This record gives sequence, structure tokens and C-alpha cells, in this order.
Amino acid sequence: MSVRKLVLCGLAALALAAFVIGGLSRISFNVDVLELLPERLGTVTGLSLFAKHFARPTELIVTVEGADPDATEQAVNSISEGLRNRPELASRVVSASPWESRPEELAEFAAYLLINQPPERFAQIAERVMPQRIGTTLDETKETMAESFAPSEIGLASYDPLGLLQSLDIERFAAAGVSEFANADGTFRVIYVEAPDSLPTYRDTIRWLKDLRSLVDALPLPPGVQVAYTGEPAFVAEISGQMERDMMGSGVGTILAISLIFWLCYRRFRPLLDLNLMLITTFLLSLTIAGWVLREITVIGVGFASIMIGLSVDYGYIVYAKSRTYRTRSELTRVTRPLVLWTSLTTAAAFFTLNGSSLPGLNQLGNLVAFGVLIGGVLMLGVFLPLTLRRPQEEPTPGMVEKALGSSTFRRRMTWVVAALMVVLLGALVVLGPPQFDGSPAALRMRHSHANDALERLYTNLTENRDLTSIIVTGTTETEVLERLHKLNPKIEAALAHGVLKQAVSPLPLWPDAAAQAANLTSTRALTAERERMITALDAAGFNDTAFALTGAIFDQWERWAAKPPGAALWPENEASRWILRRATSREPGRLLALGFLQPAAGAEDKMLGMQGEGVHLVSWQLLGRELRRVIPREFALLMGTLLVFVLGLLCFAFRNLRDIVLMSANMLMVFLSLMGAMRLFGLDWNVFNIAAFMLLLGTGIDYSIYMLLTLGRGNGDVAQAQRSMGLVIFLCVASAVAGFGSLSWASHQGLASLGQVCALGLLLDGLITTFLLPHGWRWWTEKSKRRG
Amino acid sequence: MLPSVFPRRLFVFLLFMPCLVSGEVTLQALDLAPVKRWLEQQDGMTSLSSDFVQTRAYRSLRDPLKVNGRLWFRAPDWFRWELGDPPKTVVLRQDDSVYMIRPAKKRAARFAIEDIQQQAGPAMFEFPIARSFEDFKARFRVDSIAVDGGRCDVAVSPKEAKLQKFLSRLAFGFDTQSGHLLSIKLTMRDGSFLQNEFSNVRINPRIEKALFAYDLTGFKVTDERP
Repeated sequence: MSVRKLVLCGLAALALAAFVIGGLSRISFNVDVLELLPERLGTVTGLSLFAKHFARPTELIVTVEGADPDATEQAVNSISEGLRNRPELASRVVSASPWESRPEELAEFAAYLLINQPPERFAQIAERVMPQRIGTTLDETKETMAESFAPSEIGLASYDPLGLLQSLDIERFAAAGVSEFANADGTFRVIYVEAPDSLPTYRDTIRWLKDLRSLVDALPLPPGVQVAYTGEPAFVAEISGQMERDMMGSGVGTILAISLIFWLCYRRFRPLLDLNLMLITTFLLSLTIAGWVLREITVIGVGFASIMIGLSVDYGYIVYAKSRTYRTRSELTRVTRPLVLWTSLTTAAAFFTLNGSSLPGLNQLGNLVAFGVLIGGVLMLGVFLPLTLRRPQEEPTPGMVEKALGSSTFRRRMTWVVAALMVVLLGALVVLGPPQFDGSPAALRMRHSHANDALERLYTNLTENRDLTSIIVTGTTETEVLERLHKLNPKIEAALAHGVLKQAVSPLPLWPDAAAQAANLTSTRALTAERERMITALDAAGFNDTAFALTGAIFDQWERWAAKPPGAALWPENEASRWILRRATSREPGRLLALGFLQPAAGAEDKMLGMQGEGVHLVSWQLLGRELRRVIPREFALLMGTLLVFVLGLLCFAFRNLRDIVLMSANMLMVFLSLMGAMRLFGLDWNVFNIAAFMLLLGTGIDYSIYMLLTLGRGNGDVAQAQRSMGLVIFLCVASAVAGFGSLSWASHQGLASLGQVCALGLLLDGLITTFLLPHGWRWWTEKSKRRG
Repeated sequence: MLPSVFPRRLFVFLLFMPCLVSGEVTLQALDLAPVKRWLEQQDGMTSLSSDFVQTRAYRSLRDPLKVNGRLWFRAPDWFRWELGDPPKTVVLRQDDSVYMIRPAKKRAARFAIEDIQQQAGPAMFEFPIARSFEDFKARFRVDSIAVDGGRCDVAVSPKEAKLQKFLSRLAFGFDTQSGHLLSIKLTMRDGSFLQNEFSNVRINPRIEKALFAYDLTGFKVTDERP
């Protein structure tokens, strides 16, 4: 090789290495399950908005639980103190409401709620302190303080004797008495920990959480106290870690399974090594392309590694099997190219068809696998094929599978066994009916999640009502959100009146109304100017200085706001106000959101959908499930039809033979029906992810029929010969694909795992039917045709 | 012992309202035998009537507010409270609701028992104070106990976080001989307190059911949350 060629090869290698390293380094995981769902569904938009704007990405929730409330409190104090002493680990540690330590801060929020009232309402409130009315107001207050049995009423009256806040339902804004920090008996407590940085990548999140856990683990906590972690960072760290393991684990597991299968069949080390090298190269190149094109791989996308390896290896098997007979490159290429070409194209087509689905997770999985099998096909023909010819022709040593397939007794028995199996599975389908479509969000979740367990414990302990549905109102300005809230309110009131809703909490009183604020602030000037008169009236009624403290602080705040230049909507800014508002509002430049809650009456969940409209979204997993049940099966039926037409068109073009096309179609139909019977027997249902198995089976499983029918055609219908020669290849392909899909059965994501299980089961049935029943069908058809003439 | 747990909780919740924590006096250091005996004495109680003087002191008021009242209780879940003479406020239970009635204003507020239970937490006070001695120890930290003649005064802090948010201390006194509850005082976190001094206490008197009903005809009744 000349120096110039060497330099060029070196440069090409360097460029390839840079391409691969660059692509791989860009890979990141997207743990958001909502990214797997159709964006066009209103409920998905609502859930995504909620996740993006209200599920705080850098706030870790530490839960502390124990049987003894004292020990639990002590543990919370230790953890909070430990974290506060490590500012590099936590920029903020909150274990109690900010207003518990600084109740005076609530005055700002109260002042805000008051000036945010409609001006006529504010005038009524102000009327209570007018000179002619203030005496009656204070008498009523004292009566409440003396006789009321309602703790909230008494508490408010003693600090707001002038009754400014009386009609505001102020408790509702402080979560209606439900604590964010502890359950009623103090055995379950929560600490909110803010990360010091923005945690840009999942690796940063994993590292931060690990450091934080190490610190907590080292603290001398009381015995019997359990600490758990949840919130967005805990989910990101957990899910992305699992995804990494899933992708690598299933990929490596598939390669090992393939190696074992190959060794059992051929007992040849060198070709096995070459084959694995091809598979690893295919995987790395596919992942590199994914890195450059996608950047983020979803929890479903990670399944591509094992599926793609399990499918790409088929082309290697074909090349290797044929290389034992055809020893020149041209011959081997002539024999293998059509097989590899047609099968990789139909497989890639099936996976590309997933792009027609509105599920982005499946789109990604489809593209990755499709590119992977095409790369695999090219590598097997372009690189693996010449490698197999470099070695001297090997004396064929029949392996275990080949020996079995060579036995006519075994083949005959297997034919009966497979026929009997079909009877059982089809019988199960007839008796039990087809599997149901489960549209519940279960398929979206991880199978085991400590973060989710902790969140469930938190909901159980700190939430009174789990039937609440959130409603989000969005807009680009405060005014736009306000207008939408005003339009929404009559709908909510009508729903309450008609029994569609049991209760509703609108964010309207919390949302700034710039016009009302401006008008009310003008009115406050008259009120604040009369402080002394009010203090005198309070004194005359038997109150002391404390009685005016809250009112005075509200007046001070109004004066501060009144001094500001008019125009922009006013928001309360202190820590207590921000803490209250963070669960109900979200503000980003050009994107503002208000969050409310609805409780539907039993059975009236669907009727809430009418409340959705421009900028109004419901946030409900239940409603999402209903929408998915409505949309996904229909969508997949359409996709399946499209793919069927495409594949049949391709087969018509390739075979130009009615018999082969009908037989392949019947074979596929048998696979689908028996798969559904098997699913019923195994207790599997369809869900938004495994329903794609129909298409994947059509795309990949049809390959086996192609192999078998081509072999039968070339061998003049010698069934035994076809089963012997192609049976081994099909066994290898099925075993590898089953290993690939089957390895996903252990995936952390339930949807991905169920997709793996159903595909593995379907391919196994496909392999059995194709090897042991299809050739007999072919012979029956051919002989019948011959008899006819 | 009264047959039903919940109504007694509700009953006492209305009577006292929730409270909070305090010091670190260890249970072992105090002789709680009088409390144990007193709680055991309550086992046979099926009805009760009493007069009382309620005193409420607030940080924002110069002088405490005092009002006379009467109460009746009958197992399993009937009760009636009257504040004022003539009564300005009547609180009673009907079915699954508790009514706070203002006779003079012809107004009544109805509270669902479920809401009251949720609001006050799972471990609302039992009547009187606890179901049993074990229950008492599980729910309270005892800060002090003093026996003077025939009267025993006990100061406790609740362990429940939900109650701790409101109250700093609960103190009660009882007659060591008769077992009558003599007083109960709840001190709030802000220093305000509510105290009931009981008199004319009658255990297991005959009380007619009709006493626990109220004719709300002509009243404006509103549904409220506690």
C-alpha cells in the first residue's frame, strides 16, 4: 500500500472515529414519559405543561417516615441542618412553610388578594371599615371570637378584627389546611431541597443525588426512620440510570445469546467473532447516527439496541450458511443479496412505518431499528461476506439443531406438535376472546421505581383527595390568561350546578388583574389615610395594638404598590407568596400558566373534556387513558393496513406468484391469531406500545416465509430439504430475534417490556409455523394445482 | 366505655379544638397513676350534662371574653352545646352533620362530619381526653402533673403534627374522687387560650333524645367546611 493510501486510510479512520465519538458523546436520555405520547391529544398537552412548569426540575423531595413522630421530626431536623451546612449540595432546604417562621410575610399575599378583587367587591370590603360601619364590624368580630367553634374563623377574626380578609376564603390558598410538610400524626414528613445548579444533564442529576444521599446516609438518624427521595431529580436520576442499564444490558445480553445460539449450531469460533464484530459495529454506527440526529433517546427508543442486533444478525446467518456452499464472492453475493435485500427492506419498511404512529417513542424506536437493520444488511454483505470467504472451506459439522432438523421423525413430530399448538391457541382465542386494549397509563411507567414509591407514600400521607383533576390555563400575557380564566369560570359554575363537578378551585382569584389592581389601589389611598381612626375604634372596642398589626402591614404594602408606576400587573414577591403561588402559577417570558383543580362526579370524567379549549388543558392520566383507548387502536389499524398493502405490493413484485402470496398471507394470519390466543393464555393485554407488535411481526416475520418459499421454489418443492437447510437459518433468526426482543422483557419500562414479550412470542410462533406448517401448505397447493392440470 | 369511638372524638373536638407541643418532660419521671385511674373511671359513662363558663383570651384583645354555657352528651353520638344564656350559639349533631346554629340570626351552618374529621386529623381528642391510658400515652407528652387535695391538674402536649400546628398546650383538671372533669384549657401557639370551667357535672343522667334535635324551619342553612 502506498504512503498516500495509508495517509488517506488513516485520515478516514480518524474522521470515522471523530464521527463515532462525537455522536456517542451527544447521546442523552429523555426520561419524560409524556414524550412518548401523541402531542395532538389535549390531555397530553395538559400533562406536558404540568410536568414542564409545575414539576420543578431541580427540587428534590426527601420523605422521612417512622413510627415515632418525635424520631421523625428529629431526623428531619438533622437532615435539614446537614444539608444547610453544605451549600454546594443544596441552595435551599425547606421543611416548614415559610410563613410559619415569618407569619408577617403573609401580609403581602393578603394585600395582593384584596387589591385583586373586582372593584365593586373591594368597595364592599372597604365599606366594613367606614366610620358608620366600623362599630358593627367590631361587634360582629367579638361575637365570633366569643362564640364560634370554627378554628379558622376564630384565628382569622383575632388577627383581622376589621374583617378585610373575611370573605376571601384565604385558607384555600394555603392548601386548605393540608400540609405540604407533615401528615396529621407527624410520622411522615417532607423536606424540599433545591439543587445548587440547574442540573443540565442526567449525569449531573445522578451525581448530585448520589452526593446528597451519601451525606444523608452518614447522618446519625434515629433508628426506625426511613428516608426516601422523589420529585423530578429523583425520577430523572433513577429512570435515566435504568435506561442506560436497559440499553447496554439488553444489547450485551442479546449478543451473548446470539453467540451461544451460533456456537450450538456451528461450533466455529472465528466466524462467531467476526459476526459479533459486525453486530457491535452496527450498534455503534446506529447509536452514533442517533447521537447526531436525535440527541435524546426515549425510554422506548433504548429498546432499539437489542431489537436491531437480533434482526441484523439474520443477514449474517444467511451469509454464513450460504458461504459453506458457495465459495466465490460473486456466487455468494448472487445467492445472498436478494435474500438480505428483500428481508432487510421489508423489516426496515415495517419499522419505518412506525413513523405513521402518533406515538413519538415508537417513531424513534422504528427509525433507529430501521436504520440499524439497513446498516447491518450493508455490513453483512459488504464486510462479513468477504470475511467468511477468507477462511478455507470448512467441513460442515452438523450441530445439535441441524441434526434434529435432519431427522425426518423429528420434523414429522414437530409438525404435529405445532399443529396441535395452533389448535390450542386458536381454541383459546375463540373461547376467551381477543386480548383487550389497556389504555391506562400503567404501560408508561417504570416497573420498579423507588421515586414513584416515595411519591405514592407522599400522596397517601399528605393528600386528602386523589380524585382531583388539574386544569391549566395558558397565555402569553397576564391579560390573555385572565380573559381565558374569565371564560372558563362560567363553564365551571355550570358544571358544578349540573353535578358534573363535585368541587372546583379556580386560580382566578390568584391571577393578577391589572385593571382591578389599578382601580383598587386608587381606593386604598382613602383607607390607608384613616389608620388612626381605625386604631382608635379598635381601642374603644377593647382590642390592643396587636389587632391592627396585620391590617397595618397590608396598608403598608398597598402604599408601596401605589407608589409604583402604573401599568404592569402586580405580583407578590416575598418568599411566602412565592411558595404559595408556585403550585398555582408559572411565569416565563411569553409563557404564563395558571393551575386550578376540579373534582369530577363519579362517571362524569368525560364531560369535563368540554372545558378544554384554546389555552385551557386538563391534566389527567385517567382522561389520557380514555383518549388513548379511543385513538390508538384506530390509528394502528390504519397503519397496519398501509403496511399490509406495502408488503403485499412488494411481495407481488418479488414473487409474481399467487400461491406464494396467499400462503405468506395465510401464514401471517395464523401467526397473528395464534399470538392473540397465546396472549390470552399468558394474561397479556394490548397497550399503546405492544400494539406495534402487529406491524413489527408483519415486517420481520414475513422474512421467514420469504426464506422458506424461495428455498422451496429453488428445491422444486422438496419439503424435507427446505426444512433441513432453511429450518436452521430460520431457527437462528428466530432465536436471535427472540433473544433481542425477549431481552427487553426485563426492561425497566413496562411498555417496552411488554413490546419485547409480545414480539418475542409472536416471532417464536412465526418460526414454528413457517418451518413446520408452511412447507406442507406449499406442497398441498402445488400438488392440487398439478392435479388440476 | 362508650361504644363508638368517632362521635366522642367529634364531641371533644367541638369542645376544645386542636392544639400544640411543648417541653421535654419524660413520661417515666412523672407518676401518672391518677390519670390512669381517672380514665378508667370514664369507662362506664353513657351520658353527661354540665354547665360551664368558657373563657377565651386573645393576643389582640385586652380582656378575655367570658360566656356561660351548657352541654349534654348521650352515647353513642348525640351532643348539644349551648353558648350564652339565653343561648346565642347552639351546636348539635344531626345524622352525619354538625350544625352551628345562631337562633337570634335565624342562621345555621352545616358541617359534614367527614370534613371535621379530616380537618382535625385522625387523632382528635377522645372524650374525655383519650380512649384509654395507653391511648393517652400514645397521643400526649405529659409536661406536668400535680395533685392537690381532691383535684388533679395535668398539662400535656399533643404528639400529632396537625394539632401541634395550632396548639401549644392542653391542660385539664379533674376530681380524683368523682372522676368529674373540672376544667380544660387549650393554649394556642400565639399565646391565646380557651378555657372551660365545668360545674354541676352529672354523669349518666337521663337525657331525652328530643334534646338533640333542632327545628330549623325558617333558618338560612349554609354548607361550610371547618
